[in-house]
Amino acid sequence: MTRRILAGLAIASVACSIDPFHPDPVNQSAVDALGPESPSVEPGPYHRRGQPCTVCHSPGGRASPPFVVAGTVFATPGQPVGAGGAEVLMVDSLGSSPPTGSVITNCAGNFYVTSDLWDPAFPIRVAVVYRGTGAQMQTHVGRDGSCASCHTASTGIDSPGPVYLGTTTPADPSCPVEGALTP
Amino acid sequence: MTKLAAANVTVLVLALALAVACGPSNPGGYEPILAPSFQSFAGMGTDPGVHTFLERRCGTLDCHGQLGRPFRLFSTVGLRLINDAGLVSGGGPDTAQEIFANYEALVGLQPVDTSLVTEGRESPRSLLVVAKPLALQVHKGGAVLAPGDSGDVCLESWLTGTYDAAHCADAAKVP
Repeated sequence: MTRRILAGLAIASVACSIDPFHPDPVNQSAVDALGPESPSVEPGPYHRRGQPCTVCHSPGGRASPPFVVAGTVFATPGQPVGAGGAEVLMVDSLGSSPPTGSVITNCAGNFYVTSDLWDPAFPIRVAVVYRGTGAQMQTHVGRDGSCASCHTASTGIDSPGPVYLGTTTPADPSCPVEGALTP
Repeated sequence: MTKLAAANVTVLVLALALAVACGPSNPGGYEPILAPSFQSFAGMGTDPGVHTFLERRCGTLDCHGQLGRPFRLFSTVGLRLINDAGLVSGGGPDTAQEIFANYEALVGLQPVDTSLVTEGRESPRSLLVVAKPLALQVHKGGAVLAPGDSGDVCLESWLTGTYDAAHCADAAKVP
């Protein structure tokens, strides 16, 4: 009798435990959809531009650090040229914002915000400023911190396309990402 | 008529009366639904209606502007209804089909309960479309309306047949 109880408890504990080798299948599917890393760009601040960062960079996610908001600003539509030096301005539903000048895109066009810098109460409003001019997003961001979850590579019924500046400044040859753009 | 025959007639009459009383109230077996006004939902002229507020506040692509949502909203600022006109997210105004699809999505979520609210027999806060944004029920997006704010008044007034255009216009402004 005691053996049966112990066996039952053992089975129940195994069934209820989280198997680290079989993570969340929904997230796994989203990760798989991202594809492999580009061989020419090391994982880091310049990698995977235009992809939904928080698929991996989220609390409990498979990449560190977790981001609360992150994305890529491109120079022109239709070309994979990132825009460096653009400031991303944000304000949350309580009126809080990251410190001025703290969220600037790197030469790949990528930017990210960690909760240490700013922990927004969604929804948030977003604008991008570059060389004194800018544009504000028409809608608020409801709850998804990855720009690329909605701003996918192509425009369609479910996406307005990538975030871009509409500028033609030449690429920065020193940037680790090909075709990058700096101010 | 013997006593037995009289008793049989009485039983028969009672059985018929019960059959009539317990049967459906109409021959088709369906109760009519009283839906809130589509005109007020769609708006006209300077009146943005209920739909503009819902689309801007709830219908972003990362919330109810997603195809997979049971309550899904189409709009120019979010998800577009499949179309042959080349309309994409962020381009071109709402179409009549999109506004009607949103109306159907809202009313069709709880049609019988919505009818009871419109008839004045239930509180609008008993409906998911009010209880969820007020966080009276679990809502993934949290509390996105506050009791008595313009969005709440817009929605509740429309559901109860006392549409408040001024509050809906205020709620439709981008926050």
